[in-house]
Amino acid sequence: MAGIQLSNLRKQFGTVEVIRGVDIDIRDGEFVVFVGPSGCGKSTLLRLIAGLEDITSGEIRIDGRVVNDLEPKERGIAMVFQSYAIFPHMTVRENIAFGLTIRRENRKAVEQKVAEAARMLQMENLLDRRPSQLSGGQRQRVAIGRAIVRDPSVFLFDEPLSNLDAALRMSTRQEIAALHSQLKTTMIYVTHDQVEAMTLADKIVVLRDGEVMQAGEPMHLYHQPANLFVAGFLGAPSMNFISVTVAAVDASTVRISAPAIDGFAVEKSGHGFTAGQQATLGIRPQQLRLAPKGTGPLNGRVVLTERLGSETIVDVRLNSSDIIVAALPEDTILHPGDAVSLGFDRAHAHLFEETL
Amino acid sequence: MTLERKVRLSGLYLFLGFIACIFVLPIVFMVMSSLKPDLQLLSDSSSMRAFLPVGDIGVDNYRDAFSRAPVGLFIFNSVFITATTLLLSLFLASIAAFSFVFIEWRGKAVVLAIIIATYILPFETVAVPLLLLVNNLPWLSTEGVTWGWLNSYQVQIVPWIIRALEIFLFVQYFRDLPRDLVESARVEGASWFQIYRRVVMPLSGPVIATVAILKFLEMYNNQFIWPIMVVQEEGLRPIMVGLLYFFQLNTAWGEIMAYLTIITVPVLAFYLMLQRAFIASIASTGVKG
Ligand SMILES: Nc1ncnc2c1ncn2[C@@H]1O[C@H](COP(=O)(O)OP(=O)(O)OP(=O)(O)O)[C@@H](O)[C@H]1O
Ligand SMILES: [Mg+2]
Repeated sequence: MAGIQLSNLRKQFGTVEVIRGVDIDIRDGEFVVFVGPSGCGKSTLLRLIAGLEDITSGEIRIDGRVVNDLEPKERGIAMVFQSYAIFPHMTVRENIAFGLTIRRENRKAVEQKVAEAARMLQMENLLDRRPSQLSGGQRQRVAIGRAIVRDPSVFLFDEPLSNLDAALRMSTRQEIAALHSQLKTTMIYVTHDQVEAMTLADKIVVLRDGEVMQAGEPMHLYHQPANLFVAGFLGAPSMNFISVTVAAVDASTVRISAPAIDGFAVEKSGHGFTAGQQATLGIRPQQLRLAPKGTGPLNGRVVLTERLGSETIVDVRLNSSDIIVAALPEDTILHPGDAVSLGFDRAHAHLFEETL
Repeated sequence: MTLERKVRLSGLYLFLGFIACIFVLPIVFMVMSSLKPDLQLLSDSSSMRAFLPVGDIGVDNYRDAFSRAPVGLFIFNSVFITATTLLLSLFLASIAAFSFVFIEWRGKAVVLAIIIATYILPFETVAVPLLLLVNNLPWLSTEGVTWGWLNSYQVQIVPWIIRALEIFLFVQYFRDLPRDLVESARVEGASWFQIYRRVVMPLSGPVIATVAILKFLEMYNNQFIWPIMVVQEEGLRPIMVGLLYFFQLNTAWGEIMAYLTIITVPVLAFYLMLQRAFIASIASTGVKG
């Protein structure tokens, strides 16, 4: 078991810098999820930690030890690849035992550890099969089995679920969560799926273009996103953003106005805002409520409704022509063209200094 | 099976059979001719009798061939030289390609480009410099250090071990192997050599077979000019040089056919051994296109 510290980590491929000064502190036993859009450098960051790529500058510590120049095998890590990367010419048993036989561990001990891992992953009856005779989910479990038998101090997962179908993804996600609570080993998990991030993580690190946008507990990031990017990335449907102008500021509230909405005050500490500046108002679709005709601050017409069962997603074109998405109770009956008025709890509105 | 399909299939088989005949007939001709006296051999060659065991059939040509040249020795030399070169070539070319593809080191792109570029040099252009070189190389044997490699096995083996083509074929094949396999083996703790031996080579059957066949043909069938240049001692000569024994004064066609038949036996043995891998390699390169 081990904590990991990344300090001012940078990685260049040729002249392109893809990791630009990343600082992350991971506690021993923590489940950390790196999340971000495609190409933001999640895999690269993971590969730097694994030692599969050399870092350009900065420092990586695992368990207090600087590992910058250590080979992958000297870092005490195990990694599960997106492609699973299990060896096609070996049986499941040989695959799982690979790391142990490479180290010439005692044969009895190897057999015992393989059996244990197989029991844990419910694949005792598959041990003599070849990978070509396995389903995607089973291959995935072989890859996980190969990682756990070595009893590493850190697990690295690179989008382990992205090749599975939706149902299998959900059950495997739960298995990985169970695995973590059982092993209590530090895990770093890369995904571009914010649902996986929210459900699995003790700590989420949101990345964009090789930089950390925000790091913290999932609910903290959800409720207090530090910037528009994090606010828009976490939560489904995405947060609504409306361009506003700051009209007045006092100690605890900021009064805003915009073409789309009637002027009103949000309860945000006034620090950092000055009257007259442009800002962005963020409201989660779940915070929006239907208000009696004409009484809400947001008025417009329905363009689209999607009934999801648990809730109904309604797209509304505001009078200012902005589109806003509301997640309303499942029994809401609305049709395209209906005029609606939407209100929300001002305590849950977010105000960002950034502009769209 | 519909009639139309039957007709189509028979047509296909007929065509394939015809192609097969084109390849097999010269061998039949060779074997049949080796059983006939020279005069009959020449007169038969203008008719279908050339492919049939008719007339004055016997193994005299084989007896004469063996008495004219040390056939067994030549075959041994060729098999020994070919096998040694083949094994060293497979090992060294694959491990070189492994380093080019999987290991990061400064300047490897340039080095690989230079190696590939040497492929365009025909052997004739380097033959003389190579001769001068091998004439001045040291060798360590039971007699201590000796200088100059002329008249030896190593002079027929070492210069042929690696050529750009073998490295190139392995490089191309390795580049298509999933990188994740190598990386996960690294994370699992395997050394580079363990990755080479336990992960990469077991997955390289098709390219190993391809290189083995190319190398076999190059070494067993085509070693002629170089051995003449560097080996004067009869006991070290390979089969193709041995062929010259039959072209002195008047050419003994029957004996030549007998000699060729004998030296074809190791080729057939090698092909049978590699047949499955060979077909697999053709099939897989076909799929990869
Ligand atoms: N070996 C490489 N050489 C050059 N550029 C690279 C290399 N590997 C990655 N990159 C670049 O670095 C950036 C980050 O890539 P990375 O694979 O880390 O993204 P990612 O966040 O994992 O994306 P995805 O979600 O699509 O897997 C990309 O722009 C990619 O093109
Ligand atoms: Mg990736």
